[in-house]
Amino acid sequence: MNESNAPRFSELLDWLEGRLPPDKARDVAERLQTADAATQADLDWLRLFQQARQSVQFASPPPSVREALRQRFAEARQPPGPFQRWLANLTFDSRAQPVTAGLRSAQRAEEDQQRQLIYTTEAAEIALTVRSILPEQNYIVVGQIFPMGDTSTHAFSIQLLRDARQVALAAADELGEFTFADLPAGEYEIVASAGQYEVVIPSLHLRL
Amino acid sequence: MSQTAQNDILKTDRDLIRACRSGDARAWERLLDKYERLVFSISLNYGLTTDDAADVAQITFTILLQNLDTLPDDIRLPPWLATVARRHTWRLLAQNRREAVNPDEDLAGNKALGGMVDDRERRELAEWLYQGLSLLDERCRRLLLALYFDAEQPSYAQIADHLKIPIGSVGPTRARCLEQMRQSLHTAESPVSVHRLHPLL
Repeated sequence: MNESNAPRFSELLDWLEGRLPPDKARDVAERLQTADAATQADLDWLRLFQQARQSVQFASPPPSVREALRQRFAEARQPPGPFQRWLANLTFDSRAQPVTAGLRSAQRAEEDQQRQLIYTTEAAEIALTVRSILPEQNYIVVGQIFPMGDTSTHAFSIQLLRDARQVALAAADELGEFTFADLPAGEYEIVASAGQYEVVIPSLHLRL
Repeated sequence: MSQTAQNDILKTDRDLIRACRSGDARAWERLLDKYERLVFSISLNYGLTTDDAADVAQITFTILLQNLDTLPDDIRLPPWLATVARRHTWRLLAQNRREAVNPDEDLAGNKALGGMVDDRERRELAEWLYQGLSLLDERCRRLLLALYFDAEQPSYAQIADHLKIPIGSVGPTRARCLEQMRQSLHTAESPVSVHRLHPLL
């Protein structure tokens, strides 16, 4: 095969995409019949690219993602100022509520699998719903953060720690909601951070 | 791509990271412009819904932000971001499977992508494309994304106008960029065996 007669990469691409006039397309097809291995490999690669682009999505995330990340950067990289750490107090625990007389055992059993907790600081309030997943006996923690000031809920990142090590990280959505799933029983700490302050739930005990 | 060109890309990301450490918001925007779409698409191609993929993208870049000060100078950002995104995608997929009333429901919100390939092959093609696109210079990456992955299928004229290039150069440049991508993938350590993807190669 005379290498100078081999279709160039750009010709192969135009031919594959149907961009050549009929006479040029026929010419490329004829030259391909005696193409060397390198040219054939180029053609195969281009076919793979076409296959990939038809079966793969490339899309932009919703604008809210960029907005949240802009805000997060602004608050994370602000000039250093006084940093505040708020230790949250448990102000509501559904398990601590008095049992209503005559409550059916099935309803109580359901309550045993779900627990509502509210933690309060001057900077923000955090509500948690803890549910157990049967039969694995692991837990889901669904939370919602309510900042007291102007901080957007989007700005919060929430760390879940066990034995002082991060085991999970979540980002609060526009409603301030976040979720940690599939947690084994044990003691955890939650740290919700936004810019110059963080709210800490020092002890969340998930128990069977 | 030559080692020099690859080094140029690394240098650019390194400069952006250094600028972000100094609080330069424009550098952060540039990083997001470069990689936000690719990170988001990794989760989409694993079958997450748009909302879940958006969460993963947000978490991934939040982790980048948290680690800006400790990243090594020679960090290769595309595979680092891909690894973080993949890890959180798997976690969310496992969580969704556990919570689905009907195991098939977790697919209901997802776009049916190309009946030509199965899920595993599609993910491998996505990773292959992702790696190839991330190895390109920004001009080529923007051009190929506009030509081949924009759902609105802009014309050459629209692309030329948007990218501020002569309309006559769109065709030849696309060929050069694809050739560059081919060479980059050939020389890079690819996690995906092209031969395994395409039995004819």
